Amino acid sequence: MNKTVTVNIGGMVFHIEEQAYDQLKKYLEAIRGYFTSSDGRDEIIQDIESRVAEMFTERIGSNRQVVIASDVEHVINTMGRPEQVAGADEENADSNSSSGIGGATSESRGYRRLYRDPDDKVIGGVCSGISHYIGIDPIWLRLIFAIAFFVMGTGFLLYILLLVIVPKAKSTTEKLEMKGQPINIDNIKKTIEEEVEDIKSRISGKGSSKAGSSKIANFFEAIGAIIVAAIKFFVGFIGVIIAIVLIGLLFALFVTLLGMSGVIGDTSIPIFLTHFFLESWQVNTGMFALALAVGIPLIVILYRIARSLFKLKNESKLFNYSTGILWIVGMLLTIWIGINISSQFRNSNTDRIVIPIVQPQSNTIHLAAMDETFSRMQDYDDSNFSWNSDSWGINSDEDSVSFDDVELTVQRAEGNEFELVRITTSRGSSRKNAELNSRQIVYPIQQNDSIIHFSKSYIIPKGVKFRVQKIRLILKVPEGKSVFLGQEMEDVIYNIKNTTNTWDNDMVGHTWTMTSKGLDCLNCNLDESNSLNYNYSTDKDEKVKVRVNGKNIDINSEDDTINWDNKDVKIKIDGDGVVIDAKEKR
Amino acid sequence: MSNLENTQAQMRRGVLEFCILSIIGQGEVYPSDIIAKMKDAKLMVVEGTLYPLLTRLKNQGLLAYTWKESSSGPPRKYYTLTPIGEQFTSELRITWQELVDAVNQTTSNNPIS
Repeated sequence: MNKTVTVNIGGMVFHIEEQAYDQLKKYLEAIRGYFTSSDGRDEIIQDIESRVAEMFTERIGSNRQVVIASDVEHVINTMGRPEQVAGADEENADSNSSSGIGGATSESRGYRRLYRDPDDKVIGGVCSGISHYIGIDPIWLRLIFAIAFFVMGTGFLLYILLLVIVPKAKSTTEKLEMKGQPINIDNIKKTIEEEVEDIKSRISGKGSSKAGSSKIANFFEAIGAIIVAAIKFFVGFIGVIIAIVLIGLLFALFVTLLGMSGVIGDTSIPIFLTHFFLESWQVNTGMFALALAVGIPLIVILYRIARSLFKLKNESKLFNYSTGILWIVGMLLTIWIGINISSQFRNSNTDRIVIPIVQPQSNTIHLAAMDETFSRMQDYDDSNFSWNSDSWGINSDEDSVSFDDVELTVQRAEGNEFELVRITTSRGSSRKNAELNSRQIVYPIQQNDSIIHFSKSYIIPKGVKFRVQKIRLILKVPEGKSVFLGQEMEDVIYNIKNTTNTWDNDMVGHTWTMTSKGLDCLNCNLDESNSLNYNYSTDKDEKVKVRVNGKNIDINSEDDTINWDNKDVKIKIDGDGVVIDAKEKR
Repeated sequence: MSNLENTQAQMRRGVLEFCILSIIGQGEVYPSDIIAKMKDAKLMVVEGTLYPLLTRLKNQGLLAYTWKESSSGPPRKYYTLTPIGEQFTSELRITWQELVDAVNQTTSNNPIS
């Protein structure tokens, strides 16, 4: 007495014994496994099934009702073994290869791919997959991962990473690829048979899987089961945390983009960008591109985690392809926008203008900073712009933005008059464009008698774009005439050469005279010593205080000798008293 | 598979297509008929070999088929040659004749004149 199965073969109904059914099914699957769909696999299988149905009908006749194993064997004998069926038309399979002389069969021997092995796994089959790939026993890899688990959790992180990245070997073909076995009919058949055996033995409960043969393996399995349960819980826990973090990131990205695109919240940044840096389409496209390039990977990781957490089996090809394509689009767009924006900075242009100034009555010209600029900067310090810090050198409101990129230097004049030269540089998509960009910026200079007021920064009006504009001012001072640098000019002057090698920020507040050697300071010494305290400490920890205050010098000293040397002043303190030598300058 | 079998299989495989096309060229046939003829000629041992070949030739546009009801079993496909198939077959026939001559000439014992 045997159980039967009802099947539809080639549009006809047959009752077939279970054992015969298994045999037939394996046979057809083995044939199917050889062909790809481009070979017309479905049609071939259909033709073969039709013929099988015909043969069954012939053999059963009218005196039987059930297809038995011998019928299936007859069919297989008539039709031929799977490799015969497939082998006859082998040229088809590799029609592009040169003539089949020599090795007739093309085998992808030795070609391995990294998969996770679902048949031999402790957690996700990562270790056994790698062991197939590099050809060592998985137990060593598991040991390494287990040890690495305790090294700052690196093993754990690496495992999670591999679990997410490495695909699971699902189909028979993938399993053969994983083991590096050639994909041919024999191997496919063997693998399928092994699987069927494995399932059968598991169902009947006689002995576990292949690994179950040795006691050591059993021992490890028992321990493994406990560890697995714990780790699975832990992995799930970590997965949930990572998922929450990712969701948070996505949300943040979303909100940021919305905020930047002006849908919600303060609209400052995009307006700032569109007004003074980029075209609005560049901003919009750029943000869209960034959203794709950053958001898509986050979504994919989230999706993967969700899948492994909820054990979803079917991988959505549509999802994979669409995210892949979207990500590539995002990356390409980002690159394109980047190139597009950088092309706006490709060319540079330099404009040199002599600014007419009225020659002062006296021999000294005073340089001062313009008041409005400073008050203006104070005002905008608490405005909405996060860009508005002094360190950025950028200040802005919605109608204009100002930059600190102004440098003033002093040179010797050729003739007998003061001269002021303004050199403006800018970048642009073309030379013409760069020229336009440099002309459109606003930089006011004001002269009141002998005082020239300089602004600390130049202004880009709304509609004109920032293209690294730079303003360099050269004040040409004739020999014998002087220039006084106002205290606030500290931020404007840049690297003014002088005979005393004084730094820019020490030059302000003094009058500098153009000599044959260069700029020299007339009143430096007096002013420099304005209320300074010098503390000297000797070995005996006795302190000497020298207080220089305008014209008065107070010194408290002990017995020791102290010398202070400078180019201009020499102070000598010893038991006899204090000697101060000041060099005569002129 | 031994070397001898391998070479034999390759030789047979080369002419298989020509033979099948020729059989179909003689009139509308059903795969089983083709098999019977091929088996008689010892060109083909098992039936299964034929189906992939027929499918490929059909996809190449050399064959066409019509469905016909069968008294026993499912409907059958009857194959005929398309005009392209006929052209193809006649050219193969010429090639085959040349090949026969060439092989005869090179394998015969006559010394090279």
